[in-house]
Order: sequence, then C-alpha cells, then structure tokens
Amino acid sequence: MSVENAPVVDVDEAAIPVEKKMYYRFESNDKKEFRVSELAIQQSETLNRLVEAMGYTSEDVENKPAIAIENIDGKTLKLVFQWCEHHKGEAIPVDDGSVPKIVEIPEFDAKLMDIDNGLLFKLIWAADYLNIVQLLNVSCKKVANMAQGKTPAQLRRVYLLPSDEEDEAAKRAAQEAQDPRAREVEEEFEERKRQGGNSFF
Amino acid sequence: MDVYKENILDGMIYTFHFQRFPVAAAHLMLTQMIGSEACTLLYVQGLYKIIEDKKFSLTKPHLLNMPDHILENVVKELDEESRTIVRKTCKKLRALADNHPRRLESLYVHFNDTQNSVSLHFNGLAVHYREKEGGCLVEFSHPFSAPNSMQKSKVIEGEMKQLATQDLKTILINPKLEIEFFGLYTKIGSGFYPEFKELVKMLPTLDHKLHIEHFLWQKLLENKNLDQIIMHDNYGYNPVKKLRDILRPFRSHSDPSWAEFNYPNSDKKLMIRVYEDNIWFKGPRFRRDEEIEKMVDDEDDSWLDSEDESEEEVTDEEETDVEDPATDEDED
Repeated sequence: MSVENAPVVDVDEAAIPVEKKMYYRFESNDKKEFRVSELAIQQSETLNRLVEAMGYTSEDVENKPAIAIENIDGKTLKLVFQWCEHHKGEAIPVDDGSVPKIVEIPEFDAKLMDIDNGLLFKLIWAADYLNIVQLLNVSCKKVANMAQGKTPAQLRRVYLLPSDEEDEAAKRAAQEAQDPRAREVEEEFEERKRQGGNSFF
Repeated sequence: MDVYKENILDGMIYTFHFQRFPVAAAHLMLTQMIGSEACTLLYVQGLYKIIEDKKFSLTKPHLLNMPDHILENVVKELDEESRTIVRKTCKKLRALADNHPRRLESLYVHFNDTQNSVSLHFNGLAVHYREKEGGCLVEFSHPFSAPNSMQKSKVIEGEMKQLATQDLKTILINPKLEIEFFGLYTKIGSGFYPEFKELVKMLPTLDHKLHIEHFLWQKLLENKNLDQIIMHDNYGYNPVKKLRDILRPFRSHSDPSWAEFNYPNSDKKLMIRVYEDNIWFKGPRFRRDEEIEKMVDDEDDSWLDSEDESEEEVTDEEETDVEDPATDEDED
C-alpha cells in the first residue's frame, strides 16, 4: 500500500507547535502504514528505543521502508497510535511498588476502547508488546470493569472462560492425547498393586 | 438476504487454503456462493499470504491466552465485589485473584447473635449475612458511598455463619494480603467463641501467616459478661516470647502464670495466659470446663517451664518491676 493511501492517524494540526516535527512510518502485519509523531512514539518504550537505535533523519524516514511491526494488525495498530498521539508528552507512570496507583479511564480512552472484546484483547497484547505502560493500565482496567455486576456464568461468557469442570475435562483430554499409553501404564500399575506386588518392574 | 461478515468470509478462505485450493479457484467458489462483490481476488490473495506467513488464526483472542503478568494487571484492577465474582469463574483466575499482592486498610467482622447475622466490612464494601427461611440473605452495600448507592441482595442456600466464614476465607486465603486493621466485634453479651465457632475453626485451616498490623478485638475490658476465649495457633506464628514479656508486669499475685487486668471502675478481672500454641482469656463470667482445661494444659505447659528455666532471673525482674517498671520495659 502506498504512503498516500495509508491510513494516517488523525492529528490535530492546530495543536501542533510551529517547529518542524519528526514523524516515523510504521507498517502493520497486514501492510497498513501509519505516520506517527516522535513525541507520540515516546509513549512506547519499545518503539522509542527502536527509533533511537535507528537514528533516522527526516529524509531517511521518507526514503527508507516503513518500520515493520510484524505481529500487530492494522486495526489494532491504528488504535494504539491514536492513543499515543492523544497522550503524547504525558508522563509515563513508573511502578516502583511504593504507592498503589489508582487507574482512571479518561473519556478519550473510554471512547477509543468502546470496541468488541476480541479487538480489546488485541489492543492489550499490542500495548504489552510495545510496552505502553499507561495504555496497558487503562485497557486492563477496562477488562476488570467488565466484571462489574455480572454473575460468574455471565462473566465466563464475556471473558470466554472455561468452567472448573470444562477446565478439568480439557486437562484430562490433553494429558490423554499427549500420552495415550500413560493411562494403560497407570491401570497396569494399579492392577499389580492390587495383586500385592511392591515393585512395578 | 444473508449477510456475510468479514470473519465468516475469512473462515471460508482459511478452509479453502487448508484444502489446498489455488487462489483463483477459491475466489471463483466464493463468488458463486456469496456473490462477486463480497470478496475480490486481491482480498483472497492477501489472506492466503497472511495465512502462509502464519499471521492469521481463526482462534479468537481471549483472556486466558494473555501472559500471566497481563492477567495479574487485570486482577489487580478488580474492585472487591468483582474480585469475588472473578474468582468463581475459573481455576486460573481464582489462583491469580488469591495470590496477587493486596492491601486492605481495614477488615472488620461483626457478629450479632441476637439478630443472627454476620457482617464483613472491607475497603468500602459491606456484606451482610442474615438467616432467612430457606437459606441466608446476603446483601452487598457501599456504606460510604452516596445514599441509595448500589445495594444488591440475594438469598443463598446454606447456613449463615458457614457462608460468611467461607467468604471471609476467600479474602484471607491470599498469602500476599496485608491488613492494616483487623477487627472482630460482637454484641455485648456474646463472644466469638463458642457462638461463632465456624470462624475459630476456619482460621487454622489457612496455611500461611496472616499479615495483620493492628488487631482489634472487641474491647475486652468492656465486656463484663465474658466467659473465656482461647486463641489457637497451630503453626507457632504467635510471638509467644514477646507476648509473655509484655504481660510480665501484669502477673497475677494469686497465680503468677496468669496476667491480670482490672475492669475499669470494677473489681472484676480479665485473666490472660500465653501458652506455646494458645492464648487463653478468662473473663469475669468464666465457668470451668474440665474438658477445655485438660485440652489446653495437655497441649502445652511451657509458660511454667520457661519460668522454671529462668527462675532466678524472673525473680530479679519481679523485684525490678515493683521498684521501677520503666526499667523493665526498656530492657524488653
């Protein structure tokens, strides 16, 4: 996909300072391209280190291929970069374990995360992979809030969780599938024990 | 007319790919099945490429596929009520909910035997358990939020004290739980033991030490009807030595193996004795129970043993206590 046709993250031009800004180009695993400001990139520790290590100039950004982000699709990456642009310049929270932090979901984030669960879980994956601390915090908070007012059965449907019984059955099935001989050996062992033998061999 | 959603279309393409249909054949079949506008050849080509690059999966992303540190992050953000729900959903989330570092500023247990009710108060949430025909009425409320704020109730099958104890255990079971203030309260005229023996039986079943910074028992010296309380410690976590040191200045003259406290404006006394595994409180209304006495004395008599071991030293300290209690405290 050409850069001209690439879905560019919306940026409020009026809010952009006059000085020349540096942008980077990224490409998702389904070949969607994004232009993201340097300041927004700072929200992602992974990308920030990457662009620092690359040492691109403005010309390099235009002339070299977009930086590929192999394991995130365009739909998810668009949300990630929208979030980064909106929160650019904000301090990145540091978890030093001293004070328990209270996570509030700002209005913008709430609207951004008004998406289906599948996409929300992908967003969390992406925030974790790209090490965007505050996006990970708010998206996890959103998932936690989904539990409010639900019964365990409703919540299993929301989170796509197995019940304890299903969990056990799956575990047994996996064990048996992994080692079909194991059960036979176990039965043989039990039989020998019943016959009074102390040693299996 | 049927609407073919994108994910269903992807599923069909995935199936054609799995069956090794060439791209053109897959596109042709899709066109015949759902119409040419629904899917272009370019789209089928693109998805084939993504499947071959192993970047496409029909599996929906779901919560339990997330790495543990993300799940921990989710569990950490749960409010108290949601936490109790989440831990009932599946084993993995229960294990995480029961093991993440957590701090409660306060956890209070109120037992009211006249109304046959128990309440648990923690982190702005109050859970009330009342006996009701056919089970137990459980009410959730947020007493410190706005009036008429969310209040939910439901009748649960089971015995009231058992249910309350069970829920309390789900809070205390977390070995990383820190409680700043832990309080046990009863209505005057009753005690936790034996009226609330479910709680007393539950505590030793926890296989870890409770982190409690301030323990608030109902004001013992206000309860002149106290019979007796025995705190059992099956794991030897009680700082016995320290407790004995603290109580030493209050030793009873009539029986030095007991510490003695006067009730305010009264000649009634509260007696306390520290054993290796038990702490025994005798109130003014203490009634001898040979079975209990035998049980406690059989278990441990080391309070007396430790005195014997340091008989001379204790005697010295006793003299010091009388003359200058402050000196003794400093030494401790």
